Amino acid sequence: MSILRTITMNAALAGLALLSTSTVAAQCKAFAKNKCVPELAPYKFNETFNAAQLAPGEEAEVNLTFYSGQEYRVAVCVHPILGEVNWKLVDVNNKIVFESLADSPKHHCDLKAESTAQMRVVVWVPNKGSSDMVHVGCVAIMVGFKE
Amino acid sequence: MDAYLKENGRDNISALMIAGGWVEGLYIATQVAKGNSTVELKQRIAEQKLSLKDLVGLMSTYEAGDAALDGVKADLAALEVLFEGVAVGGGEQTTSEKDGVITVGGTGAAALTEDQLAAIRDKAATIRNNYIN
Repeated sequence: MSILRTITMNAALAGLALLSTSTVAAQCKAFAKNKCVPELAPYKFNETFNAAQLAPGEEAEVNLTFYSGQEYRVAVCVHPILGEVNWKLVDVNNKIVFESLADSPKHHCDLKAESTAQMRVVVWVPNKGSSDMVHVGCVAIMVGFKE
Repeated sequence: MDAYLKENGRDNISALMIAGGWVEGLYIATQVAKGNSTVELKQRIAEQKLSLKDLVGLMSTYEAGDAALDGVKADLAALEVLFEGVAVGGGEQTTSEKDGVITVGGTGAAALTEDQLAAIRDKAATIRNNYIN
């Protein structure tokens, strides 16, 4: 009976863990949609959600292609629990095209592609001193365009 | 839809949809180019070499064993061979900033020869027709 109770409990906990993981991912998408998409205006959202849950010290990157003749806005949107993050736009030769640091944050950058270019957006969350509390928050990299 | 599939552990279906959408787009663009082969359209088709590279990267994150995914991977690999000789610029990239807008320039525009276009069009049609039949 006790074994059965343990198995039931483990199954319930596993189910809860799975449910909470998918709920967190869904919340991150909802955050990106509600909070970040409006920040792209007047550019039109490209309908691609690049969002992830990050903790201080963690890094994420997304490869983007900017097509010639189009204008773009790249926005990095962060849940307030993480504070400000560092992010940069790097070209194929690893040259930094744009950089925003947490102490002087910029939430978007506008660019005009005269020729097609591939770039990487790298986001890293700064460590916040020594604390036992690890705050995980949603970070979204969004792209808007206008022709 | 993409988010729903991913949240329900069906990422492979999501990847298939993305690949299917891309192949359909390539098919339409190459068919339009048959009667109206403008420099701009050929440039956009040539630039798909970059999207194809990203798509192949996405598909490669799924392990072999799923018959549908393996078939699509093989089709994309065949298209990759045809795109191999296509020029997509790639010269020295230049950047400048004016009024808060960064302008990205470079030498050489993406271009496609008529032979390359014909080969890509035929292959895209074969793959696409295979998917819908």
